[in-house]
Amino acid sequence: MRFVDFLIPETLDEARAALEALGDRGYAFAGGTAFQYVSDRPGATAVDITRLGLRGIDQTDGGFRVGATTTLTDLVRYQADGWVLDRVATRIPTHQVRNVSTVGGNISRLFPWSDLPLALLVLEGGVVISDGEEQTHAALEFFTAQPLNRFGHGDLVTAVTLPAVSPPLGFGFKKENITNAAFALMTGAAAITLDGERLAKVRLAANGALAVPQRLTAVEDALEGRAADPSLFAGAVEDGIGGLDWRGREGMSDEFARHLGGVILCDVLEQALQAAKGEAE
Amino acid sequence: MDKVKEFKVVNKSVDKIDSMQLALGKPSFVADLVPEDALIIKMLGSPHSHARITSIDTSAAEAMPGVHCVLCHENSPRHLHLTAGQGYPEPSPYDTAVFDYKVRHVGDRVAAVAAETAEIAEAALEKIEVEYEVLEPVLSIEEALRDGSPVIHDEPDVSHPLPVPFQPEKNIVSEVGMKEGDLDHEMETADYTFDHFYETPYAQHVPIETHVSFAYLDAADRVVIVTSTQVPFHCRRIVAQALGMDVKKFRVIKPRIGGGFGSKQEMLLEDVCALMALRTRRCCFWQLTREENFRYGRTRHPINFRLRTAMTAEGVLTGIGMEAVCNTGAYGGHGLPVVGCCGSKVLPLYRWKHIDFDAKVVYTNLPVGGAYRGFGATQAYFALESQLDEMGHAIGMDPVEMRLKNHIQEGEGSPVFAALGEGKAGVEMTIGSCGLSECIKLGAEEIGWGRRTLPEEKTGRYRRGLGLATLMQGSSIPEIDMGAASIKMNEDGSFNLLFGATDLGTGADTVLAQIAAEELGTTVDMMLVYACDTDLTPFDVGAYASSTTYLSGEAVRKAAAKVKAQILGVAAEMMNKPIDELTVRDANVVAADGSEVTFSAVAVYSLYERNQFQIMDVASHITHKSPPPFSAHYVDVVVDTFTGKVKVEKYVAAIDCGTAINPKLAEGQTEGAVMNGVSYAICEEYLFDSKGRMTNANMQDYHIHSLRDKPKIKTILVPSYEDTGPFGAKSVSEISINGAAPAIGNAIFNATGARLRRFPFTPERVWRAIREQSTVPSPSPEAVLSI
Ligand SMILES: Cc1cc2nc3c(=O)[nH]c(=O)nc-3n(C[C@H](O)[C@H](O)[C@H](O)COP(=O)(O)OP(=O)(O)OC[C@H]3O[C@@H](n4cnc5c(N)ncnc54)[C@H](O)[C@@H]3O)c2cc1C
Repeated sequence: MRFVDFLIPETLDEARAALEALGDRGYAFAGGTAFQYVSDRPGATAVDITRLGLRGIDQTDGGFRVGATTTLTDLVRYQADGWVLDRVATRIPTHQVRNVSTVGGNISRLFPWSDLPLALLVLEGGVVISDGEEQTHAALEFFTAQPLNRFGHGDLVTAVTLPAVSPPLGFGFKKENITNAAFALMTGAAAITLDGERLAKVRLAANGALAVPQRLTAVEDALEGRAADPSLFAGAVEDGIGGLDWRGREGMSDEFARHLGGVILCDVLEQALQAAKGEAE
Repeated sequence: MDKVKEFKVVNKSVDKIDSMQLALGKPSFVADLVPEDALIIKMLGSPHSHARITSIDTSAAEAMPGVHCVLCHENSPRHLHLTAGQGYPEPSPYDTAVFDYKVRHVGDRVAAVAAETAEIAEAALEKIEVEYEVLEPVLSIEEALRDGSPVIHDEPDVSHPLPVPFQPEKNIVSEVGMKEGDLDHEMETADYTFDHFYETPYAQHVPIETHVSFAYLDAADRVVIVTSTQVPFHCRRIVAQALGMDVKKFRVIKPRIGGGFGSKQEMLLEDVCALMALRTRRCCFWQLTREENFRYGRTRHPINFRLRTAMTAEGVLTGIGMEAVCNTGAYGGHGLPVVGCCGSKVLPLYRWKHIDFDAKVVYTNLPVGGAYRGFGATQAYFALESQLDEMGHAIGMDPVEMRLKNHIQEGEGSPVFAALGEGKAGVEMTIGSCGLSECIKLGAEEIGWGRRTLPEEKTGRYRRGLGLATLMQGSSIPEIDMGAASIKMNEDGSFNLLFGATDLGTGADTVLAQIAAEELGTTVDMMLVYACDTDLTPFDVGAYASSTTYLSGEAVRKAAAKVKAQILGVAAEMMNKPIDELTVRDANVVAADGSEVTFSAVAVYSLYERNQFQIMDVASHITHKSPPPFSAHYVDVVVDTFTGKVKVEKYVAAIDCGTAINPKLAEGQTEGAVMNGVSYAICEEYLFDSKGRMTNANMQDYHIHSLRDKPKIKTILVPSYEDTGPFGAKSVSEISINGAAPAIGNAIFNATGARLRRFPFTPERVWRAIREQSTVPSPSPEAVLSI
């Protein structure tokens, strides 16, 4: 994308007003790293949203609120009990991208390699959107389609929310790529809530070899209520992922993409179970 | 030369002489030096793998404001030439025109525009109307060799400068071979025989700096070409040939180079820059984009092998038959020398009695092969060292023992040396220095070879494997390569050291300065290095064939020795002492009685005081040997048997490069080559669609390892002394790229029992091999070779 102008508003209201006035030609510009994948539009104008006070991580009752222009590096550096986004952000290459790329940017325009959406999907996080007033949308609803297509002119993501993760809730995340700087061939995330020896709640999502981040509800349904036994995972995953549209990329066949998907999903379920039990990884 | 082993400057890790300049970002590279008003060149590349241009209309582009020149086959000179920089006459065909009426691979030159800005040039390219007659493309070795296959070079003026078998009508660029003993009989009677097929892939050098050049006319109307090249003198000769002009019309200047690895042993931009400068009388600048670098730049030649070997029950290697078919892509480039090196740099490593070597090079409509570090040896070592592993496994012999038992030793020769040269017979040679046994033993200790278990003993998802490959290369091309240097003394005792050799980031300038300083008895900071400018510096074939330290270094040492003799002569007169009582030490001439004069005093005396003359000399050097460096590479991998992902945890490269002139730089060369080799082995590949168009021509989809992927690498420099090299040096630059593919392949086998005979070892390929239980079918004979 080539921009013809660059605006630097100082308040959220100013930014929203500018974007509203620009209509289709206006783009919220956070880290700016995704625009290389966006085709040119005549008269495109960037509206810088990094100076609106939207950067920072706050602890809330039982969780966290992460401002939209918090960078991925901020996520890596932040430390608190129950904080898991560092594990996700650290796997997003590279240092240079992490230093400027933001939470809002990562979730507003989805790619096959988008990682934060997976974490928000399985942790049942929320996305806070301001269209003048803030409204929180469930991640599951937010990620059902390309989010940007649903925004009105001037709408901005201002924050995301997510729970603190501690037993009996466990989180798992894994990404397979060809080199450490490459986009993921396959990414999986899982969250498991235990009720004693039972899997009370299972949340599983995949991306990479699927076109967009997706919750895998068939697998979740097959596992919920069953014993917290990792040997059940392979069967449930095998049965539950067959109908999905696995796409091999970078020379990888569709068959292998599906196989890799199965392996990674079992891995993240095991990680999540272990964490839910309070066992060190 | 005396075997000096206690050195003052040599064998010391002095800092690279250009390190501060580069660290501070001083203008050093071609693109830093372009005049601001230079015209920008952009090229229209072919969208087709194989097509004839039936019409081309450049008028609309030419009419655009800001466009100064449009070149295509209709308005450029046609003198077929070779873009590869090699000894002259070259062992490769003249099959390339500046612009041609036919395109032979996607990205091939169709037309070029020089305009005031890149944007105007790009817009002008879109205005060029081209009609193509699309021809059936030849997209594999088998298709190239099939009867009735489309002929890629059907132009009547294609020719070969040497009397070698060149059959363009059959898409055959060249053939080379040799025979020793009776391999067929040996294969029938030996205790054990092996016969497998191996494939090696396309790969790119991916230097940080893509190909880049600019050219302008000087006040005398000569064309000055400033270019990122490994071969300035070859470049000058080829540009002159391509444009049908005299060599004296051109001056080629090479500033710092942002990496080459062989890719810049090629004249790819300079002819167009020069022609544009001549036509426009403006400075014209051209830099390839990364995508163009993939499509139009050079690659490693993919080579398919059939390898047959024989041995006794005791593990004594007796016979080898290597058949190699090399895909050179659309132009002949380095095909023959590359495939020749599959034999000459590989077969002599072990003491075979029976040898059959048979290689051919074919044209296809795919990207063009070129020189790439390792140069054929990389590909052939994958086949040989993989098969050696299988041989050892078959008789239960440890791979370490197998290699120690069979490798060539000091004082031994090989019939291969005399048989295989570059476009002609080779040169007989015995090995003067060989530290390979030591390399094998030290490397084994470092990797912890003693803990290696057999694949059958491993269980679990993640399996560890150890692998080994042993290697040799060469140091320059004997009786073909030539290097020269000149040294001039200044009144403060400093020296201008000029040579034609090219440092492509390796530290060669520093190494050559160390050699000169050692011989002269001074320090590196007193050597003012300048290279390379074809008007000013003496000739050198350039940076390739692992020649700079060994060959150009000896030219430098000889020049320094001559200058030293002059210094001693002047000092003898100044000190009134016999010359044979004088020596040089710490930038002084010292007499036997302890009296001394400084170099500065000597220079001032000779320049200003008595019997005035310039202390200065020049020396040239050719070699009659290509002494091999030797190396043992060990790797420790963990394979995820569920996903097929291979993680290289540790890599050990023990190398005998003779005297390491600069140990830190020698280690740097080794580490860099190892990383390059690991990347090639694990993930690098060109992906093509059904029309021969590369689908991953960018750094997002073509993966190379970066520091984030770097395994723990341990380099062990094993000293030896090569009498024919400067201060005992051989070479270090290429050899270490050869080990990763076979060593990792062997380690995967050791971990999983799955033998892969083609790479890169991508997760899917490894997963399939494991799934197919212990061996992947080797590529079938029909699919791979039609020898
Ligand atoms: C080489 C490379 C590799 C990468 N690898 C990965 C990876 O493996 N995994 C991964 O998850 N990410 C990866 N990324 C990052 C990812 O692709 C996006 O580029 C990045 O997350 C976007 O963040 P940004 O802040 O730069 O957004 P921008 O580029 O500024 O914006 C992205 C889009 O979102 C819109 N937008 C931005 N902020 C808001 C907001 N607050 N409200 C509404 N709309 C908004 C913009 O208008 C734009 O359309 C990679 C990026 C690069 C360049």
